[in-house]
Amino acid sequence: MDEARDLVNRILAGDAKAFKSLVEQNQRLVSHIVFKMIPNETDREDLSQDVFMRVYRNLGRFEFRSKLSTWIARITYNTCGNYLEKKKIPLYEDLAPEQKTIDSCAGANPLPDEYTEKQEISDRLREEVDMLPIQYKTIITLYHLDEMSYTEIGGIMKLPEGTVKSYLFRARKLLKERLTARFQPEELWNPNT
Amino acid sequence: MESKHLTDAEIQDYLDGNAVREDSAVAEHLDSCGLCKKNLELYKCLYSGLSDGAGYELSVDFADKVVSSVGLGESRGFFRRYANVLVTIIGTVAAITALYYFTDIPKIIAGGAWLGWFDSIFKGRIYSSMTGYASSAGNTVSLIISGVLALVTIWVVDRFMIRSKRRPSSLVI
Repeated sequence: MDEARDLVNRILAGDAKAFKSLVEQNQRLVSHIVFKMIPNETDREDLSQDVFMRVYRNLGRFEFRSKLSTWIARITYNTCGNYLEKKKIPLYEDLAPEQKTIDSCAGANPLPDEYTEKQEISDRLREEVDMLPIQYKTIITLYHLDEMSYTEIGGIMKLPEGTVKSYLFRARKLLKERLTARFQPEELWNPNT
Repeated sequence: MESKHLTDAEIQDYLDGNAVREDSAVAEHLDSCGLCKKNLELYKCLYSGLSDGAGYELSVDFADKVVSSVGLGESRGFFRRYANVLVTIIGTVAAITALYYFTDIPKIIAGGAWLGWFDSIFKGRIYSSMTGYASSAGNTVSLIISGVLALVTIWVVDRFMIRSKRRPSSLVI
């Protein structure tokens, strides 16, 4: 926390290197959220840049009540939420049983023959995650890629801890079912494939 | 326990390290139950895939772009660098001058002018000058008190309105 405080103070004093360091430390986290929440690929980088500009503009108000990264993630989530609202893309959706899958999705390209089985599984999983409602895939990303706790994720997305856990479990169960519908179980865990 | 299969939630809890049942009991069951073990392996595969961070790359010079977009690190000219200082000095001189010419502070402080406070403030120095009331000694005291009051005002504005926000000054959005 002291390191974060020092970094913030240096940025507020106008230290460009300190701000660059903050961006480099957190751009991975920001990109995880932006890439999962924003369907339009061309807007992602601009939106990520907008997030850091907001971070910079509001840094003086950060009170160190949470980790700096959690605060940045919250700004990212809110920025993406505003974007989706403008584009009239629903943020809140439930996992419906008839939720479309990759197989039913027009435009899903067949995987190239030269792909190995493992790459195919990995690509398929990524595509299946992308097909989930925004909140579910954001929770999955924050939990598995950024290793955040239920409490931290709940703080970022303004959801109760129990809801975060429930969404996470339901999404993973659904993903497992979709993978097993496409692949033989042995293909999934055999390290030689 | 041996006869009852683990639920998906229990397996996920086990892999997350939040198992409600004893870890050893779960492990024991997994050793003896092929179905649950298969399910566990599927989840392990899923967890491994979900932790794959590929495909989220921003441009290589992303951090530089962000830094330049907020205007940090750019060399600024002499005037821009010291603009705040210059504005503060000009403001202070203006405030002292205004107080000096438009009020008669000693008269206000002397009190007993409840009913005449309006005259004291708005007509004070001009009125005095016009009537030849002000003496040079009175002017000096007025100047000192006006100066102190102006500085206190500037400090209050700076402390409670500007510094409390602590916004970086070079932000360009």
